[in-house]
Amino acid sequence: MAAAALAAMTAAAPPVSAAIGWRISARADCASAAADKTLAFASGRIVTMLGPDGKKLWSWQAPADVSFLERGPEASVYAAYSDTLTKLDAKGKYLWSATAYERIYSLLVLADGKAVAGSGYGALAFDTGGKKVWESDPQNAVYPIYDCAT
Amino acid sequence: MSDPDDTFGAEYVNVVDTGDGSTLGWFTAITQSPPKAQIEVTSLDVIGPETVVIGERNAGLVMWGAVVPGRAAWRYKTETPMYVSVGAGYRMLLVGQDGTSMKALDAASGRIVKAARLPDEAIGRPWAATDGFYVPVEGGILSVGSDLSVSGRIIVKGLGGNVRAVSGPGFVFLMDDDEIIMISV
Repeated sequence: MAAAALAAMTAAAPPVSAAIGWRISARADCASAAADKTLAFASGRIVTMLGPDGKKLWSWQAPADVSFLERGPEASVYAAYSDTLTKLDAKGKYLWSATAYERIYSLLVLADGKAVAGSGYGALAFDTGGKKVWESDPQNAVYPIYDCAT
Repeated sequence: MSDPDDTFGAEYVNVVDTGDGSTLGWFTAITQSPPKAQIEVTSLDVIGPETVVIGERNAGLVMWGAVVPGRAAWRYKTETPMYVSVGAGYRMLLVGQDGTSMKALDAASGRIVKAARLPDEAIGRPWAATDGFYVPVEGGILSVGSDLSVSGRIIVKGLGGNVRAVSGPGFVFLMDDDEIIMISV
């Protein structure tokens, strides 16, 4: 690119006020942040919690590569790997695991604390203690099908 | 939204009552009439309490309501965007497959309100700012207004590869192929 063109683009995009707080060398396959600026991230099987200053608070090793992480009530962490959902407490201590029957493809923590995992089986919701409170199997359910092409 | 076959796109979208797991609606056909047996969902963005914008490989983008799901509120025929982001005020940013073309879409009406081009190629999904979006590019972040004007650049040396952002109030974590960077914004 010509220097003049590059200069023009730079002029059109002046620096914005922002500050790099910290940076670390790590590969994050998935991550979840909280408002207190802590970050839980997974690299392969290892789940690591970073404090607001970027320093490691704890880590935990899952039996398989972690696909999804979400933050739960009381600074807990939900980790999904393979067909399993695991809950860790605020210090990374293992609390419980539950099966989603098939590989988990999505994970969500609701405002009421329920964790919802979407797997090849369907959607499954677990309360904060790990008890399954409902499941939804979309392939076998009977309900209206809406055709939005109309 | 689920992707049981681990293909690029998901194959169905269900609206489920989170209280008891009962299904409220099943979004199966957004492409043509009669509906296709298979759809390929490429994106899903919640833009309101009861509305989502769904990207489908062939149909483009469709706004769909959970309460009255029998009809699409609007459809915008487009190639699959590389990135779709939801901003404030029902404004969506679409970044094209070339990584530089961008469109501002009014999610209330489904109309494109502005088109522009980024000075650098986007290398990750943009995220919402107070009045616009932040777009990760090689070596930094572009601040893009809701009118798609590039109003500033945050220099982040070494930022490259595939960038993902996790943002919170006043901060963002950027993750590229080998680093995690916390930025206060």
